[in-house]
Amino acid sequence: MDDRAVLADALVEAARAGGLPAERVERVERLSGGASKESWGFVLIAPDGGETALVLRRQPPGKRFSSQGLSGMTVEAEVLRQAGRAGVPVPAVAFELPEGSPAGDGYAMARLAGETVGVRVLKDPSLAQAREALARQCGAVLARIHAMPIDPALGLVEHGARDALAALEERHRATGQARPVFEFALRWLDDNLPAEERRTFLHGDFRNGNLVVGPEGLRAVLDWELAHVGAPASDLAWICVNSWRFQRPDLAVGGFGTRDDLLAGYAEAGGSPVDPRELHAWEVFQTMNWGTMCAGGGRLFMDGARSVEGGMIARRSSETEFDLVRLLAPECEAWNAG
Amino acid sequence: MQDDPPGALLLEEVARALKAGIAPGFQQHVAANAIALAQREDRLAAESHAQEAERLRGLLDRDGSLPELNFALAEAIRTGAITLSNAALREHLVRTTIEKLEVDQPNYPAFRAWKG
Repeated sequence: MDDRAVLADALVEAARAGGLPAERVERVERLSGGASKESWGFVLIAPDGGETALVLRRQPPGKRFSSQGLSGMTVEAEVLRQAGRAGVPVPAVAFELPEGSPAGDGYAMARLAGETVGVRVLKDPSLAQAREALARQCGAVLARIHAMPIDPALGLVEHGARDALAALEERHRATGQARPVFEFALRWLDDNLPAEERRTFLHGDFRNGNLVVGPEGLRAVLDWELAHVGAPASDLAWICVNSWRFQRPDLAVGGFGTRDDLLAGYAEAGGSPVDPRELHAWEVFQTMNWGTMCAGGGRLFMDGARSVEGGMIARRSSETEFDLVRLLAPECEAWNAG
Repeated sequence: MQDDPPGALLLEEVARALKAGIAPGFQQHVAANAIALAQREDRLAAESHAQEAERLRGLLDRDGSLPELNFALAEAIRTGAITLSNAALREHLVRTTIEKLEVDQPNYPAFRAWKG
């Protein structure tokens, strides 16, 4: 039996164990090559012939969980359920893989129609109306995420602004690279990153690319594996990082909207007011955060984990240096020199 | 100073990938971009590195290799020996970053938007 057949059988068994009427599984297909998780699409066929399109999200064997995020797939499934109960649009969890399942460690969720690829979210003509309201909707959804109760059973990682900054500096040091721009940003953050007034539930990776968008607007928020507890402004800033704006750097929120709309949507949905200076400081933080992830890939490449794609991602860290100097030294005369 | 991995190592990886058989589509696109990056590095980096080293010698009042000078500048910023308000520092960082991006990603949308 090939891998797909093993996977299909394991999915039928897991669906039945989860109380779903399952006759067989068809159309098993690998979806994304996510950095740390695998996604597989499949259709669950009930004894009466009814079809349900689902997505399996699983941890490939041997890959470790990020120390920055959730501790496992069971926790991630529970986070999705809690987010759904809090009014956050998420795919419904259909069933989990039981322990020891040949399919691995993971869960199945509803397969939603809609666009997730960031560039296409910005370009698809059928999403033109959706884009107009999207920044405001993102603000509203972030407000609901930040209002989620923090369930101790989830064991969420918690860090405030200072811990987050120390961790970022440590990750930068671990690359072993001399980067005067990052050093400048760290010093600046040390002086300017406000201590959080409160800590809330955070999505941790809320950006264009992890949103499902349809013609009527935001359908769901995906990829919760980096959920943690910390400063709410950090979530609002991550979707403003220039690298997620693709061809529209002029639109700060994901390439589709303005910061004013994001913050207005956030406030309307009950989010505590965010000082624009605090948002700015977190944009600096998050820009360096992405840059440090790219730079870490450069270190891995030089240590022997070589690939063209990995090398090219490493060479993207300079785009974040560009964004950082634009954020931190916009008035510099050197911008005007030919 | 251009980041790791240098263009020559990217080309090595492209050659390896081509021999192994490269999938059409995304992987080919990335490989073509890697070749173009290495070409820009070959054309531009020597001149920009020379200018960068000269600025660094002025800022730090010392000599050394380009990596040594960059480590020294990073350390001077970290310790506060050079403050963030230092205009020559800011100018150096802006110029160096522009030079890096001309090699790494001249089509980065925010960079293109700035150039107008």
